[in-house]
Amino acid sequence: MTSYMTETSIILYKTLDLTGQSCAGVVGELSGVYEEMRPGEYVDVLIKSDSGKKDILAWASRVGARVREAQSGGAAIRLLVDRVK
Amino acid sequence: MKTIAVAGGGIGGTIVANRLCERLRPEIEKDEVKVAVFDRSGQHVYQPGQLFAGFGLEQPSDLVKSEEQLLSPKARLMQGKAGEITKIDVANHALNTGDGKSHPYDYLVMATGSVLDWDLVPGLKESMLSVWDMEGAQRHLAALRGFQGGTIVVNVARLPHKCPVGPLEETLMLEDYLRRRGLRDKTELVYAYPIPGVFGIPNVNKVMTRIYEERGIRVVSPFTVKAVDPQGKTIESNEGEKLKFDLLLGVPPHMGSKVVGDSAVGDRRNWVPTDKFSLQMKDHSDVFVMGDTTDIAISKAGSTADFESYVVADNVANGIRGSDVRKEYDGSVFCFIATGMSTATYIRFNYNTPPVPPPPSGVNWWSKIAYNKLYWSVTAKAMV
Repeated sequence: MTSYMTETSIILYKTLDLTGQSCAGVVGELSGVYEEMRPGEYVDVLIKSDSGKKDILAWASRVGARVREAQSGGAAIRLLVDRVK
Repeated sequence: MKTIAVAGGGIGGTIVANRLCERLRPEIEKDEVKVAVFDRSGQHVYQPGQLFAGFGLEQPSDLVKSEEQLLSPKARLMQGKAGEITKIDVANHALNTGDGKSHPYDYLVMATGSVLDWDLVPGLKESMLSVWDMEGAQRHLAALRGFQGGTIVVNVARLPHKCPVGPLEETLMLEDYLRRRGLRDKTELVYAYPIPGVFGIPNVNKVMTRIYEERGIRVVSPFTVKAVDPQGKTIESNEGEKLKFDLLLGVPPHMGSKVVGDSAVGDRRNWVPTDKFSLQMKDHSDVFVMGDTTDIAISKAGSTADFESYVVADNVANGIRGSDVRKEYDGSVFCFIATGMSTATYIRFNYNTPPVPPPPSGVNWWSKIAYNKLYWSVTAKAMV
C-alpha cells in the first residue's frame, strides 16, 4: 500500500468494508462514495466474492474509475479504486 | 453523576434511550446516571409509515406523536432551543445547544439520522413526488388520485438511502393500485435505478426482477439521474438515457444531518465513520453511532437502528458499570417488502447471511401492518 501511494501520489479518501450484506450492494455502496471523491483520491475497498469484483470492474469501466488489486492480508479481496477525473 | 447524551429523537435515539433507561434503572433512580435526549422538534415521526400515507392507507396524523409520549419518564427530553444541537464537540466530550449551553457527556449516542439532499440534482425537487417526506407523501396521494394514465417513472436518485426496499414497495404497490383502478393498461410503469437490476442484494434482485417482469414493469438500469426538466417532463441520466414522464415518483439523494457536517465529525456526505461491530465512532470510544447516521455499508432502516440499539445500550451500560463485557453488532436487518396492496414478503439478514425472501403472501402483508401498528407501543418503547 505504501509503495502504491508513493508511486502515484494518490490520496486515500476512505476504506470501505463491503464484505457484509448491504441492501445497496457493493456497487451501490461504492458508487455513493465515489461520487464524494475528488480526482486524485482513491478508496480502499474490501469485498468477499469474485462476483462482487466482477461487478465493480464492470461499474468502473462505465464510470471511468481505475481499479487495482492489492494484498488484503486475509480472505477478503482488496481493490483500490482511483478517481482519475 | 454519569451523563449519557443521546443526539436525536428519531427511531434510533428513542429506542436506545428507552433501552438505556431500562438497563440502568437502578443507577438512574439513585441519581448516579442521567440519560438526556436532544431533539429540537419534540415530534416523533414514524417514517416507514409514509409509504402507506402516500397510498391513502395511513392518515399522516397517525404517524406523528410527541416524543414525550414515547420516552421513558426516566429520560430527560431536551427540546426547542435546548434540544437543538449546534455542535457535537467530541474533542471536549460535550454537545452545544441552541440556547447557548454546553452539555458535557460521559457517553454520547449519535442518532441524528439522514436528510434529503434535493439540490444535488437540478430540477428534481420541482418534479419528484416522494413519500420519503411527509408532505411529499400527501402530494403523492393527491397525484395518484388525479392520475388517469400515462407514463410513471419511479427513480432512485442515489444510493444509499433510507428504507432501501421502499422503492420496490412503492413500485409494486403502485402497479397493483393502477390495476385496481382500471388504469394499468393506460399506464407505462418505469423503474429507473442507479445500479444494474432493481436491488443491490443478488438474491433479492433475482426474486424482484422476476416479479417486475411478470407485472410488466420496465426496468432502466443503471440510471444515475443527472438532471430533471420540470417543464419538458424528462429525466436524464449520467449514462445518457432520457426518459419522458407524466408523473415522477421516487427517492431523492440522502446525506447525514447538517450538524454532523458543521461539527466536522463526518465524511463529505455527513456520514459518521463507525466501527461496523462495536458501533463506536472511529477513534472515539465514548461515542456510539447508530441508524442512518453511520457510514457502515448496511441498510439505513428502522430495524437496523432497533437491532443496533441492543448493542449500544448494553455496551454503554457495561461501560458505566465498569464491566469489560462488550457485544458486537452482527449486521442484522429485517424489512417487510410490500409486493402489492394486499401481499408482502420480507428479508432478514446479517453481515454473513444473505436474505432469502419467501413467496409473497397475505399473511406477510398483515404482519407488516401489525408491525407498523405495534411500533408505538412496543418497538419505540423498547418493550422487547
